[in-house]
Amino acid sequence: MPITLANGELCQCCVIAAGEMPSLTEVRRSALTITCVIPRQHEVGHLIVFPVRHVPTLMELTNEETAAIATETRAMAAALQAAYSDVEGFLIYQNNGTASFQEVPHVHMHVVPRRVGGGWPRMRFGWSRPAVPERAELMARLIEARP
Amino acid sequence: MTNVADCAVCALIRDGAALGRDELWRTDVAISYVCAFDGDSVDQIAVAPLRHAASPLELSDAEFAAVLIAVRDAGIALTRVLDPDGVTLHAHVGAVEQQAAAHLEVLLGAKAFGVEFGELPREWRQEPWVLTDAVVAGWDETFEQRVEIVAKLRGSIAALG
Repeated sequence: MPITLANGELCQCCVIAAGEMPSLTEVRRSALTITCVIPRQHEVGHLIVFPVRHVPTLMELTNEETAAIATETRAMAAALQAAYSDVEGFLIYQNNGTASFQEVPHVHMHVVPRRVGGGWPRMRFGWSRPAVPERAELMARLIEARP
Repeated sequence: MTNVADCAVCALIRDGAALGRDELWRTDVAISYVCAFDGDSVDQIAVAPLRHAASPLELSDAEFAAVLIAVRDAGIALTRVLDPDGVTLHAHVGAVEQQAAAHLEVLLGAKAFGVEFGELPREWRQEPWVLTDAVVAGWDETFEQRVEIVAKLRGSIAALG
């Protein structure tokens, strides 16, 4: 069964990418990526980086798009650190599928600046318990499935 | 730059296994491995750069791109093997984020519906215009505050060149 994605008549990222409803909270765009400050500011400066092309999940990105998102994520971490002297770390996360809380069905990388005393607790991941085989079997199957 | 001598990931890179981490494969730039970090977690995949670096900011653009490409490939393998309902990527950078090792690790966890933490309803519909100017106030910050954040970031981007 494929990863379950959110429903919606229009993809909000694609609407921004097409300039049909330009966002004043867009930080910048390149040929491959767009960066926006999002309304849900878990910490001040929380932003997302997403590809211009509609791509639902990480696993469907091309090498070129993946590299562009990585470069932009890194650049935004540097920009956040330069912009806010109290930034002491980052949470970088990206959800695939509604089971992972992906609200918009267009892959997007969250970059969250973290501060001592920041109001957002450390997020815990990996609580889900899909049927995972014992490690040795899991590793053998992963190695066989490597693209 | 953090200390290589005490780094569990550098030990894994050197020995192939260390502190609950078991190597799957490696490229010229990154290593992928299976790990679990606490009693509530099932095994996850992690990807780390071969060169010791605690943060993406200590890597070059090309290195971090190679790490993220390795993460994508690990995600493809994970979905082929476990057929999960979702996949979560996360990287905790800095003591403030309780970074587990003094070495950048990008983690991938398979997710299944039916747990209380971190999921939306299966039939979730995206919120209308959540990213756009039509939303004038967000959760914590007003629209005007977000515009100020954008201006501040653009200033720092320009200063960084």
